[in-house]
Amino acid sequence: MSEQLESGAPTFLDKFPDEAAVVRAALWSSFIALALGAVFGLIQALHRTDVLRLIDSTDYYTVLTAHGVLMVVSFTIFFLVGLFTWATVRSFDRGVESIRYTWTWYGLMVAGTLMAVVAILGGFVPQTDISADVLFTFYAPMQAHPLFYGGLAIFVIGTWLAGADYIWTWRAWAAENPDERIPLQGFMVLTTMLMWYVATIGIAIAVVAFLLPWSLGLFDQINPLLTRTLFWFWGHPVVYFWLMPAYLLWYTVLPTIAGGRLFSDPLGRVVFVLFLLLSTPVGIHHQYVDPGIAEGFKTIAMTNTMFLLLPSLLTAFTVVASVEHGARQRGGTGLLGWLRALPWRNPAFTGMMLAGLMFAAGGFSGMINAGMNINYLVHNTIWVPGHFHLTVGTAVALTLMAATYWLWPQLTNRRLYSRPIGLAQVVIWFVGMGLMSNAMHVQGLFGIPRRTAEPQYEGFDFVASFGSVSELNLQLAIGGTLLFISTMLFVTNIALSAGTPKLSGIGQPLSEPLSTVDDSPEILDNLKLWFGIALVLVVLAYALPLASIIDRGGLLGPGVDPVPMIVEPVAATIEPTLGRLAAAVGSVVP
Amino acid sequence: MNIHNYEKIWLVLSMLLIIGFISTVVYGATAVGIEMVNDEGGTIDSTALDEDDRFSEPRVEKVGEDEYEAYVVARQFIFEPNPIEVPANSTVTFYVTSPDVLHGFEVVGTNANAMVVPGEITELTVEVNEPKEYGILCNEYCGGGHHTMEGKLIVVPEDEFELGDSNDE
Amino acid sequence: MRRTTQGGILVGCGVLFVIVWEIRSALGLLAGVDTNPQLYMLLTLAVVGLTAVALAIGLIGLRPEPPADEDAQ
Repeated sequence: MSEQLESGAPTFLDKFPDEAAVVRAALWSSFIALALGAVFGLIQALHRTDVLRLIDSTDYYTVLTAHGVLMVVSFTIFFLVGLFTWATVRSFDRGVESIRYTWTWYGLMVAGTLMAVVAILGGFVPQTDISADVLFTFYAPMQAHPLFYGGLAIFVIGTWLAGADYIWTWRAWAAENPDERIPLQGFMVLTTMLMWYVATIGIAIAVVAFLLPWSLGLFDQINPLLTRTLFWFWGHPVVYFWLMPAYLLWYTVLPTIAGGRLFSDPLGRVVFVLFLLLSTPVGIHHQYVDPGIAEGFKTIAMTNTMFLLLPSLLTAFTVVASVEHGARQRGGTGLLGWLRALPWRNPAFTGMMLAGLMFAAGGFSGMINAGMNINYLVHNTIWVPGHFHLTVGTAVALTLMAATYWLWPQLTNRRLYSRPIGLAQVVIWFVGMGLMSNAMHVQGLFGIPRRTAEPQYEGFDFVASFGSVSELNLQLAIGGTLLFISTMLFVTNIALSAGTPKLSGIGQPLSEPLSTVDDSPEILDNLKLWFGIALVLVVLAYALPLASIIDRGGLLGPGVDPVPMIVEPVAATIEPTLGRLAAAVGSVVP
Repeated sequence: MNIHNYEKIWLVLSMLLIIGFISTVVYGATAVGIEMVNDEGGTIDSTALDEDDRFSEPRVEKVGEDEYEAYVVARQFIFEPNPIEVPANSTVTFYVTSPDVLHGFEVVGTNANAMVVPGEITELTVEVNEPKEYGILCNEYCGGGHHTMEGKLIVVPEDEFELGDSNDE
Repeated sequence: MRRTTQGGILVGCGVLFVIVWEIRSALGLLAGVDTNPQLYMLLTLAVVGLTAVALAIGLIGLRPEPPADEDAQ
């Protein structure tokens, strides 16, 4: 327990009790979404592998929508706003300007989430016409209930107001400290939120201008390629929105836990500026095999995507260097011998390190996806979920859980219920994800599709180049089960921590970087400049493709009617389908 | 700005890696000749496929020596025609479109894999070699029966191939 | 001689398990070597289990840390 010796320093709760309450509320919202998402995840893992089918296969897609939205919208973003509120208040060392305003945006995000979740779960209740079986990507002309789009819009507005809250704090601080550089955590929060403002232009236009009025029946046609492209305008930068909280933790918290200091503050700033600039003009790499988009636009997106590797590669260096510094501070020596001087028994440290290790693997499978022509082999196969369960599903999720083990005592003045359970939890996650993601990647190479309730077909079998498909299915199911157990251990551990005695003086100050901000040019802190360049890059990357898509299909694509996604009509559509199938089969019989 | 020497070396290696990746893609596109699905398939009124002579009757057509075109409709939850028959050792260009929602068109075990978007026509050219049966599946979620959406691509020996056999009755 | 802690054994064996098991996929996909899944899993568990036991009884393991450097906090 040496890492958590009482320092006598005040915690975040001691200094900012009002803000700590908001942070706790945001994190609890995040953990509730995580727990629910994990239940749906388990159902899916067992269903698609045919290990245990508790639900009807048409309901699989309701479960899948809920899993996706709860995990990558609610879990990650609620955690983000909680963490960013903590980081803003901590690094500027001042409370928010109006706690009522802060609760307002939190309330909007909760309201938006509830609306979307009601719309999604309505899919289980055939008696209502509420449903949203459109998956996380909600591609038109599949149509969800207006409640779903409305909920998303309100949620995003909540995040915008949260960003304004951080900017407000920064401006108030800057007015009092005109000559000071922005503190590192504050800088990371602000650049990430500016990136979010650029990114959400796409989703805001798609939802507010097209999908919401269309679902309300104000017009009945839509250009599916346009809304899909606008989705991916937002859909790629959002992955960095998930990732940046993890990066913030790796840069500013991990070095302290490792017993050392961040290697370089300036490089950290450069990395976040690069993400602000490059996150958005890459979304078309999700559309490499789409019709209606010229090869040139795809090539530009591919090139930008590859350069987006740079900030992550730089991060790998800085994080490992900082951890090594920590190990040597703790007495570690040798070329690799320093590794054993690290606090591996601390679940916060080990969780973040295991997350980083898996992120390296996820980064490499991402480079495959980014390779335009090799992507043909893996597009929309289960390889892709295999990839993003390593990135958002481990690099982000495991880092956030591990960091909670460190952060939670700072917000509650209570120790964690059990550090050994915490350590077991992060190791179980690592092993579970190792199995599940490995099976997914391999199945993907055999052509097995993602987002499919029963990946077993009548006319053909998948050919496994080694082992067998059923063995991979079993591996996937075991991995998914371990991940579910790990999630439950995490949430229970945090919940039980409320029962441990209140302590005082357990604050953990963060260490200062080795190379401080004074080593970096002031232009790095010119956020207006970077925001401006980011907007220009987005215009350059998207103006022509969007103009071309609108030119081809119109703003409201002619001849594309809405297809409401509700469970009941499925039975109705299967019948004509069978009829058509019979006709098709009949036509080949001479 | 003060950058440590190790960091500079790492930076240079990272840039080399990135340029290496871009080079492999460019090599694939130029030397190997892998073309991307692009905007050349054109657009179509997805509510009126019946009025389009290519898609009113989905079929395979011969357009040149060893060159064929396949007009395919992907709809909830079937592919038409099914099966798609083409002769061995030929070049086949698929034109795929959808009258309802987004679909995927994946010839299992190959790199023939593309999105199908209503209003757009996906154009995808592939080389087929030996006679063989391939599965076709939809890999983009398209509704409650998505998992039942499958088809077949049958590459028949050149001497057994008869055009239009499967289409006219 | 200090033995590896239980926490250390847990973390090390977790990572070792994933690495050894995933080598099977690498063998299958890259080298075209098809291994028997049950046998390979038993082998993996044996390697991990033996490592864990050896660490626990101090047969192998990490020597105690050298005394902390003077600049250590």
